[in-house]
Amino acid sequence: MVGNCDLRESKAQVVAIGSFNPLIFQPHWLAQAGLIGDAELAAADEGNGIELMHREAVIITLQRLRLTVLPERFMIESVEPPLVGVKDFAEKCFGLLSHTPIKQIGLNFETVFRARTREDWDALGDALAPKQPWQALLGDERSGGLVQQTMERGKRFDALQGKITVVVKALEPREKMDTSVMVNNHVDLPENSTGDTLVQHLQAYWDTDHARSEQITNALQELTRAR
Amino acid sequence: MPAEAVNLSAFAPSAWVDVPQLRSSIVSRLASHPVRKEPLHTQYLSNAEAALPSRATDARHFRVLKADAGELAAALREIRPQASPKFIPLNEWEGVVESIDLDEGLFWAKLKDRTDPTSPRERAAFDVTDVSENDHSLFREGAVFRWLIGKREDLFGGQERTSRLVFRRMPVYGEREIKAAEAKAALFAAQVTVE
Repeated sequence: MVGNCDLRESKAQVVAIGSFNPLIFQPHWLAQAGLIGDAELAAADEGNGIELMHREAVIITLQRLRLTVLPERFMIESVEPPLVGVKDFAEKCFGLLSHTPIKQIGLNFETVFRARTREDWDALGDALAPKQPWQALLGDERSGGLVQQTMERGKRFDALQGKITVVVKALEPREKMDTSVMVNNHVDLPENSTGDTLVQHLQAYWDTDHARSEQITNALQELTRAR
Repeated sequence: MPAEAVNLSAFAPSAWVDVPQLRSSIVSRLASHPVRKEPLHTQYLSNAEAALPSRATDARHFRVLKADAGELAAALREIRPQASPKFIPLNEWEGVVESIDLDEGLFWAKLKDRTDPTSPRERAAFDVTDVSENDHSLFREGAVFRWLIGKREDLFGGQERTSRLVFRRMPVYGEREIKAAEAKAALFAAQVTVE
């Protein structure tokens, strides 16, 4: 257990920015490619999970994943654990669509946790955004607090071009004292990169990006300890 | 939290965007789309035929909405994401199927703890009926899966302990990839000297 809080949700996304044809992502193509199982295909055949299928946008909810494809964006996200499902999906998918032009990649991880007491939640907010500079401006009455904070490291820890962005956000309804931590591991790819590049990136960097995102999230959870 | 307009330029283009948030930008894009009355799958066929397996080019398998962009935008605007029970993971292992005994209805697997990587590797037996129908085609010796233990929370806050097996849909490498990997390994091995 990390900090005085309880895990509520863990999600992951693989985002690729490039040039895509959304309508390729038909359930029957996904099934023949081995990306979805028979039960998911049967459900899709009955219309279950297909939220939108249009040449400008496709949104399909699978058993544990949600696929969104726009002409310039591919996004696979986990609806439920295990998170590695998004890596497997993207890796297998772009093994087949290996010539698809891709410019940027994001390996994103989100964790939602719930503070056990209001004091524990305030301890996190106070550590990230000390209230003293605000007291002269907004008064010292304890009401409200940190709603959202974005911290960016302008370069990655490896040799790749990119950055790491962490967003900490208090979720509604506030009475639940839920906090979301979203970590975006962004990469700008060299010109002429393709689906092959994405596959290689996932094989080389998924584990390290995931582990670092967990370290960041754990460290933030540790701050939920009222002094 | 009310849906917010998404300013995608504020962060890295690959930053986390929830589908409900992304939906608002899709709606505005479709709403400004020129109205087209032709069946959309006609264009799909001409654009993507080459990239699809033959079975999928059969128009009967398409679930392409034959509506114009304005109608789609209106329909999409109406869609509300449905709340669903939540699975909160407590422990996760990666397993590899070692052997399957259908007479006993069991399979044996080697396990590695993903939650605590310092834990020693373990071996365990699982009930074959724990493999979900969706994963039947993946179930064989050597298959890799994740075993999760967690809490399932219903929409009213009720919780129950539960466990699940999820087989991984990993890429299958063909002869070309295997030969390339072997060539790379041979090159690497040739550069290694042992004293």
